[in-house]
Amino acid sequence: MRRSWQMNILLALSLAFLCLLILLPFWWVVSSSFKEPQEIISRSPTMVPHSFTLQHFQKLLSSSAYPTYMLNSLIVSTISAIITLMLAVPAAYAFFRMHFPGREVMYRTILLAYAFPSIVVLIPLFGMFVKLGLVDTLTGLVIINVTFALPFSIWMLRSFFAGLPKEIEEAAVMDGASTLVILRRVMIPLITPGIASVGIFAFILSWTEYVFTSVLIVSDAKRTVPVGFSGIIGQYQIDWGMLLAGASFAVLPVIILFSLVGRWFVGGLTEGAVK
Amino acid sequence: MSNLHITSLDKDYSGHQVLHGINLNVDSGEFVVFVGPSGCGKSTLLRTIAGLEDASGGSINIDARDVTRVDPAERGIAMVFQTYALYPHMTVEENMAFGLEMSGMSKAERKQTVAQVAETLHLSDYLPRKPRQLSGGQRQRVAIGRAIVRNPKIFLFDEPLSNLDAELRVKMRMEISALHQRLGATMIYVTHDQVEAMTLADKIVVLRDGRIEQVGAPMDLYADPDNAFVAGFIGSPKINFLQAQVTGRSADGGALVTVPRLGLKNLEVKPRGGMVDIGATVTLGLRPEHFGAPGQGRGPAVTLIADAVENLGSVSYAHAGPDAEEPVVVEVKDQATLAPGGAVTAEVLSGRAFLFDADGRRL
Amino acid sequence: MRGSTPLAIAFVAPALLLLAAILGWPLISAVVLSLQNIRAIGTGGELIGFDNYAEVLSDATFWRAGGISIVWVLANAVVQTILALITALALQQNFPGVRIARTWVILTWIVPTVVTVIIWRWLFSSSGGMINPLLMQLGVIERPIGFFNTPTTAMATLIFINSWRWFPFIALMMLAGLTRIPSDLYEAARLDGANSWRRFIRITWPLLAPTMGVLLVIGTLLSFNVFDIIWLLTSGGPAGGTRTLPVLIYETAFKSYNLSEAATISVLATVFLMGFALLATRYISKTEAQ
Ligand SMILES: Nc1ncnc2c1ncn2[C@@H]1O[C@H](COP(=O)(O)OP(=O)(O)OP(=O)(O)O)[C@@H](O)[C@H]1O
Ligand SMILES: [Mg+2]
Repeated sequence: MRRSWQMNILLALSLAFLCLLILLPFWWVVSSSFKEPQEIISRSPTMVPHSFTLQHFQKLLSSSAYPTYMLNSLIVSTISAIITLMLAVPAAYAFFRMHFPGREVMYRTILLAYAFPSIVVLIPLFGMFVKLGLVDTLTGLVIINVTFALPFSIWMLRSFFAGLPKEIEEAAVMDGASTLVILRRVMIPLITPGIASVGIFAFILSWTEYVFTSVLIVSDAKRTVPVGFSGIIGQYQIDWGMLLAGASFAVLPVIILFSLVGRWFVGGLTEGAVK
Repeated sequence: MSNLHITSLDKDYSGHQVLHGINLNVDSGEFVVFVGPSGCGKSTLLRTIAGLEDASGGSINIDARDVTRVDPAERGIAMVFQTYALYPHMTVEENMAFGLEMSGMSKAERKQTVAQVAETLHLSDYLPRKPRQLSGGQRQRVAIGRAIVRNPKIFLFDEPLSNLDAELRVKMRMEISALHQRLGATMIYVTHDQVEAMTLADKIVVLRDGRIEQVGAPMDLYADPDNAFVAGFIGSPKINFLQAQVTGRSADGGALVTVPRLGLKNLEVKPRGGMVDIGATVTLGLRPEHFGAPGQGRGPAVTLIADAVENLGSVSYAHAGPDAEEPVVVEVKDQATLAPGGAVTAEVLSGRAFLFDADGRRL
Repeated sequence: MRGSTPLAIAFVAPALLLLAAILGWPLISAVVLSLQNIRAIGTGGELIGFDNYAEVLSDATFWRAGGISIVWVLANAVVQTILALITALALQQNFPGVRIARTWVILTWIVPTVVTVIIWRWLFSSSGGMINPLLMQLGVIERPIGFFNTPTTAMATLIFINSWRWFPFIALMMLAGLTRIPSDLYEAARLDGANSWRRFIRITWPLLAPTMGVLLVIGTLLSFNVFDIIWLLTSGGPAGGTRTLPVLIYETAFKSYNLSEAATISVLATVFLMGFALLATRYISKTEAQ
């Protein structure tokens, strides 16, 4: 559809506003992480750095366990994403297509998972993890992340399954494929966008998780980026240069991930939501 | 090649009954076509035969084996879907080989079988392509090929040609017909298309509201329908239904009827069997082609005013009012000058007409 | 409907068991905990009935936190809805780079909250941050202010930051609803001579309303549960001015070591939230049926 010039101006203004709102903070932070300390705290801030230094990054890497945090985060997030998919795909298919008692009730109950403050379960869960020896382990974090990613993942994958034409499945039935084979050979390849979205969702959820990690992880060597990073905040006299460098660093992996698969994620999110 | 026996088959969807006591025999090698209005249960019947839906009652036998509770894949049936239902992520070759792989055939054998079938369907050049890189007709052929490779006992088709354009439809219709000749396989075919039904079928099954109205060879259904519904459903343009009154009987058992709409008295119509009560109100079923050229002495002549004219070239159809709600349609041959508003004179070939009682049953 | 029941159960069981163990069971224990008098993890306690509830319900801190939570949820809903609607409408249009924009708009949501906290703490800080000099240049303020120093500014700032993080997510959900509106409706309206504003009021808005309803419910649940941003930026201060219920629960459990009381507050909050979710979904499905 063609737009009137008024609409074009309105659109341009909205887009410019959104650009500033979303990108400007990131630009300020990332660019400032390369500035000399004096320039960072200068009373008249600069849009483009006048000085250039890598000292904040050097300090970050040498004086904190930042690389360890990063590695922990990558391990936890990747494994969480994989396990979420391994559990959510069959469950979503069963809720979508298969017959078993209590199907509808269970499906509804699962979605209630987001209707209570997650902090509620933190207290009893801590006691439980102490008994199971899961406190201060990455395994514990993976368990938590998978649990919180599951309900949304199942919901989203189910709507992806629902988006496939029924006849394709029936054709596979006529071809003599068993339920497992139908799932593996026909259905899963056809919902790769959904699987990508859910995988990324679980990854991001784990990458950003703070509350549970902060309580369940005790030793510095097991910390993930969010928790390790918040430790740095309190640990020193506020050293903005180092914090900004850390922030820039923490954004990097998600940006890389997103440049590769972001299109799928957003497409899946919006497609899955309408069904 | 296999036969199929369906006995008092019922199907309901949570209390809503869709099929009522279907009885049907399909002989080995027969081509059976299901027709009927939308929603009458054609697809449901087909899918129940396939095993995609569970029967609620009755039984289905293939070659004397009860398959009512048997898994679809073990019934030896292949199905071609209206939407083709090809696996979008597999190549044509993989699509056709998938069923063979499931049945445990070796890779080399699969490749050979698929290649053979592809050859006969002129698909050899397309084997490495994905379905989305094919035209509608090609996809249809792949869907048929996928059914053929498995060498099923029975082929099921659910409106396989309805997504194709008119020209391609004719072509594919011929191909399916040739395929039936060549394979000699038992085939069951659902369609909305009169021409497909008439040309393909050895036997047509007319369904209405989940019940079989009549089963028979195409020409039998056309020339000797059991009831008004079948008469109305088979034949294009549609048969004319006219109010009539039985006024007497002729010497050889024919009924003499008065047809006010045509201004005819004592028109002689042969009932199918038995006697027709004198004085009864009946419906006369008169096909457009039951009007013949005038001056041949084959029946009483009527003259109607053509309110609208459809000229198809070899024949024309005159639609005669007067109240236009249900116009009388008259087939007119060799009358190039026919124009709206003009008069049409034709002889009523009442010997081929039908009589129905108030409930639509054939008399 | 296909497949054997045992296989179906095998498919759902791992996910359901995990959810039951990590969410279901602790939820029940939280209820039990709220009926006991346990202070720190590992210490014993006995059943004391509803004493905790009586205590919490007569505690002004609880009611204050509840009130702050309501303000928090409402303000977030308003700010996020407005920002998200503008974003969704803009991204619905066709313009060069629209696909990139649709992908990257979610940037604020995919970075860890800790990073969000650093970004804004620095930008809002009075030494070196960008916001103060900017506002001074624009003449809004005369000298740098400490945004986190008074309850009102702290709350407003937090609402802005949280909305900044969440509005793109809501916007994408709205966009999904928008793309579902058939474009021939717009074309028909256009032929009828309806201008852009009319088209928005008569087509977009009514057809988007059900999506908005669902999003408001989801958004409310999500905002209510926000904890880390608040905790990391203000820890509920100054003077408890940003202490929402989740913050209060955390403080009660892990700072004042009163587990039972924290569980009690949790249970009350859950009951309240579930009630809201149920009422809202019922209201939505009722209006949708009309
Ligand atoms: N899964 C289902 N659940 C409930 N009712 C159904 C289901 N499938 C079909 N029906 C109903 O069964 C009846 C027969 O449907 P069916 O699809 O067999 O009709 P059809 O003759 O194939 O029609 P068409 O010519 O339009 O394809 C319809 O009234 C339909 O509403
Ligand atoms: Mg059908």
